[in-house]
Amino acid sequence: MKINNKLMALTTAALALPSMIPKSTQAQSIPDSYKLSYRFTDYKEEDQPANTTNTGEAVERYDITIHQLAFVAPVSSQVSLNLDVATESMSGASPWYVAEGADGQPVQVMSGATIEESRDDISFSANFYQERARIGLGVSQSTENDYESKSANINTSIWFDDKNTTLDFGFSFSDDIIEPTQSLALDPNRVTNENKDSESISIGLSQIVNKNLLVGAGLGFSNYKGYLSDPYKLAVVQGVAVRDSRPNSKEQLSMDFRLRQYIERFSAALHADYRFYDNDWGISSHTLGLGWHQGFDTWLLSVGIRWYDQSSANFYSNFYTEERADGYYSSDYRLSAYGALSYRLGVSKNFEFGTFKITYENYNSGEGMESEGELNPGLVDFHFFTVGFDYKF
Amino acid sequence: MTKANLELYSTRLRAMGSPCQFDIYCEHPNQAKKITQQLIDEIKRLENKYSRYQPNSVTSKIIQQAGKDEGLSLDNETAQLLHYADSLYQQSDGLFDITSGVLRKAWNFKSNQLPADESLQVLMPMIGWDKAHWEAPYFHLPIAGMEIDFGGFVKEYTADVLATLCINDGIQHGLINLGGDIKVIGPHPNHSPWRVGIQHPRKPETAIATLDMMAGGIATSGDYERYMIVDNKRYSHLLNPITGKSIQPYFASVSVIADACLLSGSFASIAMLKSHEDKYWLNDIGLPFLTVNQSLELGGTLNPVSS
Repeated sequence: MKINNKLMALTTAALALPSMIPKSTQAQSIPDSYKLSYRFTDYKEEDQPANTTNTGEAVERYDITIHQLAFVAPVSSQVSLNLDVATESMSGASPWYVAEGADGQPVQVMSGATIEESRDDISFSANFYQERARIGLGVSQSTENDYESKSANINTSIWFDDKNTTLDFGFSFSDDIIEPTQSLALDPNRVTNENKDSESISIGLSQIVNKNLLVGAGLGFSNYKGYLSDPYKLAVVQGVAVRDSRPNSKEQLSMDFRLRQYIERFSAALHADYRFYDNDWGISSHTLGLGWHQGFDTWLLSVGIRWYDQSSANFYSNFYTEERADGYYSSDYRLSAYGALSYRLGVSKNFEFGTFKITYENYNSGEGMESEGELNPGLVDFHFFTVGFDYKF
Repeated sequence: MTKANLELYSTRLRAMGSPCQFDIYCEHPNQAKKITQQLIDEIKRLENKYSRYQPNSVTSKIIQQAGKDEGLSLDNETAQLLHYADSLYQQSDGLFDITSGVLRKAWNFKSNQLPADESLQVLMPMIGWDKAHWEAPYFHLPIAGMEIDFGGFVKEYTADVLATLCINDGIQHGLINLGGDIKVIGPHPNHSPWRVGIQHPRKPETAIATLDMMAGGIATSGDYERYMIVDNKRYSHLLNPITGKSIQPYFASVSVIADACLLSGSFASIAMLKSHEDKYWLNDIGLPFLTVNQSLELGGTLNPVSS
């Protein structure tokens, strides 16, 4: 189409005027009000079924309650501060090791006594906003009676094309100390004091294609060093229990892609996400998520489904009939090959002063979704519900 | 992404010498109140900054500096408005000239008398955008008595600025109307368009046509804002800055639709100024338009909903 020179000349001059072009409302910008959020989550793992345990009786697994409080304070037109605190208390039994059952099938041996644990997390971050960029700095600490983790991160967003394009970079590192509780009677050889640390970098790009469509992609790389085994787990090698023992380094890569399509005629949004993960222990996974968020007056109803599939670590086995030359053994279900399917339902209601939310998620792993080999008997199913409120002032 | 409970909040006020109306859909009265106050503050800011009736306005300061040794260093917004004025001058072949305001000293439309040639001849040396010294951010009117006036487009610019403010605050549905210079923020929440009336050039309180608008800006330039009839001939406020004479426009009014209300207003004004020699000037521009000729017949590329 031929564009008239006069129109072109005046349009060019007009667009140079300040305030002629709106900032994108979808891009990140500094929060415009104080926000206090509270979440309560009740997470419950299904009992370990009787036919998969060594005792032939069902065992209760973890039940976790979580309280989270978050506070966002835009202290000036360019700085916002965030404080997050959370406390978790958990009780229940967890998988200890996998043994060979009477007819050769793997059976789960659970930790004997009910474990009572608690964890406290605190994190603080500050975000500094400029016209075309944001820089965030954060520190966090997580404390359990047998574990302490300290981490710090720096991340930045840079906006191009009038905030239609966002480029993100992040770097974080953590330093963890592991001091397992000792159980001389049941498991006398637990490690006493170990350390691990990690570094992660990430880069992301998101693009507003039009006012209803956003697409994004990210790439992340992490490097872990130190004690990466589970001090509370054992593995069975030729009928003898040995310590869970994994390499003392791990490198992992992840890629993710996301799409957010707002559908005006339905007042709804479709979210689609895919993630690929790969580490040098041999685990690679695919996650596919789909969500539908239906607006209705001041209500938002959300349904989502997520499908997950992973391959096992190359040193993983339910139990070992031969010794391994590298000395690595683990029968942790999280390193096994498995699939999982979860669905999520959510309702939120907007009020003038905030938002009320309820979410329910049901997660099932294992049977019918396995990708290869014999399933780990400790694969977990769980469900949780979260209620929360965001208060703006 | 929720489609919340949107209510229409309308505010009427008088600003920039015109009746103004903000129609915005908000979720809550407090949000409407906050945004409306921002809009009022912004329209007052631009009025105070560019009105030649305000002694401390940028316009007054530029006029006071005319003929003196040094010019003024201007802020970015004013510099860009002058840059826009320069484009208007170039693209209208000198017909849209923000220095032509001094002609009002000769043209008194309340007197029902044409100005004497001598009084025009005194004023003509003080007119001409090409005489201004303009090297951003420095601006200088070299001749004492020279004036500039942003009145030819600052109201349209303000309509765009107010709409941008609303959009930045998350408003998706609404309309800004500054004395007929209109910028649509977005259609009604049910996606129906806004009905925009085009003023009848000879019956001020009625619409000669109605248009449906989903987005963009619309502005109308007419021969009816100030005029006098002398010897049965209509003399409008549309003055030719090159001759100092009142133009006899072919059209009684021209309305133009563009993305920005600023562009709508500029093309409508130039089309009126050009119309006595080239009534087809708008046809090549590529913007939708509606014309009303002196016989009150509608023309142009737009299809009114009713007329």
